[in-house]
Amino acid sequence: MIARLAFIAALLQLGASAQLQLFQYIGTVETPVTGGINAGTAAPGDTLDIVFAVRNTGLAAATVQTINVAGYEFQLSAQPLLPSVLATQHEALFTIAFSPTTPGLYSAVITVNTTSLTITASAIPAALLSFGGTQLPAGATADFGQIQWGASIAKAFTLSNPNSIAVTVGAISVSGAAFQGPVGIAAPLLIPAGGSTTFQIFFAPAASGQATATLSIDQRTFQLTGLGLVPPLPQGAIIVNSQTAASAQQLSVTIALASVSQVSGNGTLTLAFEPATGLPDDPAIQFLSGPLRKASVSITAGDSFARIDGQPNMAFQTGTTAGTLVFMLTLPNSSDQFTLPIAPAPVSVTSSSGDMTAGVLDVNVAGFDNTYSISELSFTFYDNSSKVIQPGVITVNAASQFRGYFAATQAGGMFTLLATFPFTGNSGTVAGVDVQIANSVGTITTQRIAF
Amino acid sequence: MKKILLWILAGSAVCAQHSISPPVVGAFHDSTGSLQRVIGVPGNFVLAEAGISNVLSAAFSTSAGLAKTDAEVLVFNASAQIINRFQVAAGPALFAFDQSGAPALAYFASKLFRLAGSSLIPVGWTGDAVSIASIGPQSATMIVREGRELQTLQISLPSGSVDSQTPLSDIATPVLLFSNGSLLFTRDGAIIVRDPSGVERKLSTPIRVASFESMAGEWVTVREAFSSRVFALRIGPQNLDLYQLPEVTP
Repeated sequence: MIARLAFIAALLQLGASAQLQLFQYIGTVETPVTGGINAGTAAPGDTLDIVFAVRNTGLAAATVQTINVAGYEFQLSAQPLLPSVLATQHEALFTIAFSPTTPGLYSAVITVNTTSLTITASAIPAALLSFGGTQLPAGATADFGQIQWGASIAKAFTLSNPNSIAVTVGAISVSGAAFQGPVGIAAPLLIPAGGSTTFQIFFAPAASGQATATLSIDQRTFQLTGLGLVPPLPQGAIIVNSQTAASAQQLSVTIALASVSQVSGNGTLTLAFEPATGLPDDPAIQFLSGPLRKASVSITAGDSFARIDGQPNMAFQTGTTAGTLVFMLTLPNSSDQFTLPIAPAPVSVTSSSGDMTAGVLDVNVAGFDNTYSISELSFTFYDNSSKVIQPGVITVNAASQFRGYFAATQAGGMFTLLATFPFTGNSGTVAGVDVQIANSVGTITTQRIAF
Repeated sequence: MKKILLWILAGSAVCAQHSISPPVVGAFHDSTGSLQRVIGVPGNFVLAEAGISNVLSAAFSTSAGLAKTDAEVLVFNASAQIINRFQVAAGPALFAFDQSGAPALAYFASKLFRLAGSSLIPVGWTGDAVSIASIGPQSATMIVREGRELQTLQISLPSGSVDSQTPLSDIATPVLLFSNGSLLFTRDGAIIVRDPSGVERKLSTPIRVASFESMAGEWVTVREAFSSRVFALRIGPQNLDLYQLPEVTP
């Protein structure tokens, strides 16, 4: 009991009613102030925050009228609005900052209402840390900014010794997954008076979001922070496996990425057709898998080529109509367009045959006209000696029939022509026929069609 | 005589008839079981639904077609119109046409049948056939599986008896037998056509072939394994050309 009474008596009692008592917070631990306070040490340039609480331990309300601090390098940095009436068992916090500029022993007087106490602190010689040209006090934060995850950025720090004596850095380390270093410095390190040294710390986030770490220099710590950003998908480029496309081709398209993708993502690849003037769309112009003119594009981290509908490439048809195929790639943050012109061309014959039955010569020609402009057909029959059978070229104007056909068909410029010639006589004399087909671009002649 | 002919041809210049239509390649059944007519030229195809669904097997010549659904064998004309149908057992089928392209043979439920007019007549042969061909009104040739080996059989259609049997040791399924005795199969990443004299033509391809079916004329339907992709193989006089057919999307 005697000991307890002695302890209570030693508590700093504030105010006539002795209801207000002073406590010091060290971290989260509250310690009663029993007299003068040794607040600890700080390096010149650092700030040591000393947190106090004034608590009303009485049974009635008490008022904090004033809080003052008087002393070189000490200042009141946070306090409640005064006067502050405290209910029983309530407290008010205030902070005194010790910010020495030169080494030495410092003291100040704290006064709460009418009661005073002495606080002391030491400024010890230490190296000053600078980041980006700004001096960092202990506990301060160095912000590395924001970079894409997977990338890396180095920032320089400088330790300088403004003191008149050499200082030793006993230990220096970085803790925190996204930060690596320090590089370019090894402890213990002696920094002479007026000297400095520079080192680097790397920020290399492996994920998106805020990253933090701690730089420890002896007993002083500094916060490191940076923001990892999701890197964008690399730009995609449409590549077609032929730069000189023509009608009736099956080609393939791939999507090359500007760099190996660090992330996954999706997009679309569309195919549009702009027919030449006066011509209709061509249903055969399409991707050969999935939806006709739209394909999904997927990119997985590590890819250098995108996948189209899950495949490394996508086959497509160029159709049988002159015009321009337009591919459009849309990715979340980029796009690309590729145009593939299909030039108007003479008629192309893909197969032909001749058939001879009683009294009839059938000439069958299949092919396409990507201009939809077939006008004239010419037939030249040959005998077994490859001599032209008179009267020579038999010409048929088929323009209107072909116009009507192309207007009605859904087969683009494709056609099969069956020309029938009745005859009498010795069928064995007719050996073959050449067929000429003219359109707006030119005239082609088939290889000799045999009967 | 030549003068007479010339005179007639000169007259035909005025009378020549011509018709224009889309070029029909043939027909096949897509991955959903729908029969598709293929309009096109090499390198450019469009599909046209024939309105027949639940097709398990199909083959076409230039003048006719045969298809097997779960319960029927369907006979088509050149326009893919049904001209006859037979109620039969479930399961896929193999088909063959005669030299003129007329429906000739059907194989399903391990039995061989011949088509004669509006009749489907059992031949009296049973076995494990992988491809069949008609080589005349009285005989058929077949590739059959016996154990792990393939054999070529020649069958007498009137009796169903085996007239000859030859081991086919150097090829494996899928294989398609043509009425002229040519074989279509795959080997070492290539599609190969072997004519009756043994001369082979090859087309290297990255696709893994699951099956061959006659699409009509010089065209063969090629199905890719583990995929819905279907290709059209053109067996030309000189070259083999493979084209992808447009995929039917629901």
